[in-house]
Amino acid sequence: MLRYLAGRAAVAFFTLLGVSLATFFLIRLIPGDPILLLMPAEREISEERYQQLIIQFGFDRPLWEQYFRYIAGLFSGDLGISAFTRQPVLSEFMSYFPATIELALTATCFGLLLGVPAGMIAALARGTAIDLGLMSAALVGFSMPVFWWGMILITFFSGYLGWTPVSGRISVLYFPTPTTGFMLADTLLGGDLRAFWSALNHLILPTVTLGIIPLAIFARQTRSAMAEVLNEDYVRTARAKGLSEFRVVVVHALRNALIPVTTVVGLTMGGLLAGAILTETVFAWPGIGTWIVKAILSRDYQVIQGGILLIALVLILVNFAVDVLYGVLDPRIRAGGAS
Amino acid sequence: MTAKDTREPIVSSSGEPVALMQAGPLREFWLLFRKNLSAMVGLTILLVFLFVAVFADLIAPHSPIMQFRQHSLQPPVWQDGGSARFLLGTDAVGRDLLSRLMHGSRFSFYVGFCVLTLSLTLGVALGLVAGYFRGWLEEIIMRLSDILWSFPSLLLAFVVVAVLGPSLTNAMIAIALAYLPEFIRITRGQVLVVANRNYVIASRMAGAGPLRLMFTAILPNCLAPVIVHASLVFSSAILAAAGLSFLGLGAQPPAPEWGAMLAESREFILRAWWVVAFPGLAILIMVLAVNFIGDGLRDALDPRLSRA
Repeated sequence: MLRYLAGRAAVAFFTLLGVSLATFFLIRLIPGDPILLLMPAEREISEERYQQLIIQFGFDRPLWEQYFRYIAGLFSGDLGISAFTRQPVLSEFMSYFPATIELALTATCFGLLLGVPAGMIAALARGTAIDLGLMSAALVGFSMPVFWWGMILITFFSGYLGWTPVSGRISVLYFPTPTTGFMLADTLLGGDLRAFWSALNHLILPTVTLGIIPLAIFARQTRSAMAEVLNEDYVRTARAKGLSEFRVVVVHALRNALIPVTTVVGLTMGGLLAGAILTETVFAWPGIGTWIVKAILSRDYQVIQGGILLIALVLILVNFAVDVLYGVLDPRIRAGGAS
Repeated sequence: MTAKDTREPIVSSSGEPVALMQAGPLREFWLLFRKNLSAMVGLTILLVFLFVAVFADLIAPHSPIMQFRQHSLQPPVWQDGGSARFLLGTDAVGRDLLSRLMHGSRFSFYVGFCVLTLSLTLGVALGLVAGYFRGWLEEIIMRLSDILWSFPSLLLAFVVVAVLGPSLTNAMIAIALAYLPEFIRITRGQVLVVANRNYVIASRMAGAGPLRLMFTAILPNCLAPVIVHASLVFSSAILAAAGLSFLGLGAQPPAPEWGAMLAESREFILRAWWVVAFPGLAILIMVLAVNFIGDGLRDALDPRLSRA
């Protein structure tokens, strides 16, 4: 187990090193004056100010020293300042991050709550029309362009039926105190049920939008894992013992089928982030996705640099946590080593 | 004419009786694939899309960038206010939606083929080298691939686009890089298995050099899972490129790329359903068709992977 963890940690470390190099060279690879790239607001500056900035950013130093300064800055939480809002990148990230996490969590729950039962039913009804229907639906979900799916949901539920709001996290009437950063939790803590309802209402469509691909993946994975497990000896034994069908399926089969499903939950994390960025854009959801896309389109390079590094850090940590979890869940994995 | 007597010796184009030739693996594959209804439906749809993409200039009723200003946001033909001149309606500046969709299919095939060619050739080559030579070379290739694999693919795309600027080519480079590690891993895994088979050893005994061994003895027997995976990469690449274009980081307007069309249609989402519905439907149908084919390929080529 220790060997396995060390291997995973090494990969995580080198990935982070790779990301930091990539973001470091990002600014230095772009043709043009780096000072003008980093400080687009300072268009016509005096020669004096220019030299001052060169020294401030350390462009007069050798490359390796610049890199170490950059890394040292990261450890003290200095990720630069947004050229447009003049806010430190780290604090901007912290203010947008909870919205994305909240959305990713609700979408994963949505996918699991519908996907696992759907896959289970399909596996139990293998070969029937129910199975075919569920699996065809899952393939449609898997092929879905999420940004379009979100727009279609808005057109129908917000436009045609008028049930849900079109964008944002909460109605402009409410200002919950940001204790956790999660709108659902904050409104509950504030004790205002109408505010909670408004937050929930805003969250539904983005959740269904982002959750569609995970839902499809979980359903497919649960079905194939269940189908395999249902043929195992221990399931036959459980049946032979005269256990109820419910007990056989849920306690004996599902528990073992869920191991590969957990793997897939971890693997969808990267995709979930990609989906979150698209979903946030459709619903004007104030998360890191809209933040980083805006930065790329407006060439706010300090935000791009710091933001990509922070997002990568989060994803690498999540992947590492998922790797550890597999090791705990499935002894075969830690025996198999890191490869 | 009566039913053909199948016992009659079939003759190939070169005149040799086919019975003497082996039932080729391709033919065997086709016989299996043909039985899969959803895969055949997918293949048919994809061929129709391909036809439209190739002949878009001839069959599209209008130019994809021609603006009929006096007809802007005209609904499809079957709705009140629609006309047969613009079958699927027009967008905000009066461009014919059907023509734009037809030309848009070119982008999807272009992206799919370019990304696939790039990541497949590079990935298979690296995987083959890693699996054949082993040792430090394998160690380096696999560690680099591990790092690329854990590097979130979308962030990779962002870095590439941020450095090189938003364009479809840059988006494709980024997507191809992101799919590289999967091809390396799959190929290497296969090579490790195949390299110890008797026919490879026999070929080595007969004096075949490394290149000959790699490309004629090993590679052809590694391809089944690679091909299955290729279909997934093809469809994912189309989705990813459409997504990047939707964010404004891929194909730029006025290109009739489906994702970019959706981005342009966002402000009309509650007023003109057709400018939103059709481009997305086109993406969905094409991706779905490729995924259907992918499932069929998996069932036909790799019985171990097929659904239980």
